[in-house]
Amino acid sequence: MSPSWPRQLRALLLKDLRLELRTRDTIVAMILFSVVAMMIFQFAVGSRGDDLTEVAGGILWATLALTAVLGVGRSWVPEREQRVLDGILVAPIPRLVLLASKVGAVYAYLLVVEIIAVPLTALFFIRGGQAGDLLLVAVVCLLANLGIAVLGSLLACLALFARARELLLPVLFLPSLLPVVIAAAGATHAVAGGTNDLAEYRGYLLFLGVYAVIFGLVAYATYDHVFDD
Amino acid sequence: MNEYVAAAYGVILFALLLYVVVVGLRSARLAREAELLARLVEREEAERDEAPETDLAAR
Amino acid sequence: MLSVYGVFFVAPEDADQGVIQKIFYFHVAIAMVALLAFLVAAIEGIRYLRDRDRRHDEISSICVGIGLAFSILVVITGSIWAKASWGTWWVWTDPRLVTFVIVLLLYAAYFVLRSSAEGERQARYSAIYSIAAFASVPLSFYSVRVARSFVHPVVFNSGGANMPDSMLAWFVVGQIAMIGVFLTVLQLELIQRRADSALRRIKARLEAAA
Repeated sequence: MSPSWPRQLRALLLKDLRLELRTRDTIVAMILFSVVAMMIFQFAVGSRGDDLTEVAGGILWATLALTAVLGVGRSWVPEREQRVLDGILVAPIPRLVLLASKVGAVYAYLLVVEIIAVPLTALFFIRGGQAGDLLLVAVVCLLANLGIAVLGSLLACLALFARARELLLPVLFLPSLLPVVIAAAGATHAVAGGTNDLAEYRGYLLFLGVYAVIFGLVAYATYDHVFDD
Repeated sequence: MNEYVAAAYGVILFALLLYVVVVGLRSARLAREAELLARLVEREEAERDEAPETDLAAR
Repeated sequence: MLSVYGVFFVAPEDADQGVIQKIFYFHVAIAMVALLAFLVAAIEGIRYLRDRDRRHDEISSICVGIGLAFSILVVITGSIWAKASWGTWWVWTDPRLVTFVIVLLLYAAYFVLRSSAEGERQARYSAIYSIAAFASVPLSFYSVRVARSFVHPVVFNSGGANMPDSMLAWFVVGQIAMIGVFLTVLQLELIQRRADSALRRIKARLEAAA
């Protein structure tokens, strides 16, 4: 990679983010979707007024997983439209930088969604929580987003040219996301709503870190082959 | 307990059987196609053999 | 070669009478071979990406198919084992069982991916996914294990690792037999595919000449 790759990365990332900020399509849709999804959970399991504190973490991460599938598919659209993926690069951007910029964009989108979704989860589903818990959950988000963004960006590329794109990506992505959901929901549950099992929390965080590292390696090893030669 | 053991074995054997049937069907199809193609080639050779003879006969 | 593998078909029928536990080691043997199949698929995926030889893609996809079929068997036999051992048809806390459910979804998606692309891209995408999916397998397993370890601090003993030597011998035989089945099926599939492809090529030639 050329020595200026951090600069290129930042430029690309900022371009994507700025584009998104201008239209706000993806972000708004993701936020709305996450709220609606939480409502589905509420009405599906909570209509009787049960205390959902125990499953609040699960609801949060189920919602975020589904939302991530949406967002990750959208992040490649500008490149697809400019046919960048066909190997016709307008500017000589290293492919790894391109992938990294997508990962960064998705990561940012997820963070924005979480800024809204996490407090909402606490509001709707958790009884007897403390504000400090939110910070701990924030750390879970920061870590989990990494693995989600990396794997998602890679798989979104594979689904890009398929006819049933909207269905293929979830089918591809969600099974691989299951470990993240297990770990992130577990970590959230460990610290939300009154319980504060830090050993458990740290165990799950470690897992999320390993997950991110492993898929980071997979993405690093295979990114070049995603693009047509 | 033994019904469960039998059930487990049964499942595995059934799966194996299923696969054998699939292989059988597939090879039947392959054989059919091969036969068809063989007949096609033989027919074309026969036609080719006839054609120059009729030419000679016409002259 | 095939005849050697064929012998292994017979071996599984030789069941010793004994504890149900031991007989269900079949379940473990099938599980191991399923994972082996997925590993081979991933390795062949890597090899395809290296040299772009279609044969690797062929082997990779067959192995995923075999792995998937074996995984279905794992889940079914595992469910039967669960009923026999614990009285319920399903448990969410056994990491192996849950991992194979995830594996089913993972590799079923492989075929959905395959059908969405053609030619070179199909092979390339399949290879990439076979690698990523295989990475998901241990992660899935450990995520369930980690989650469960917080509820049940006692380390789960997966059906008794301490086998008397006589049982161990049968287990190894069963395991080898399963690997034999895997290799046999792989060979059979390859042969059938090659034959089919050859016939198709002949047909195309004949139709072009006619």
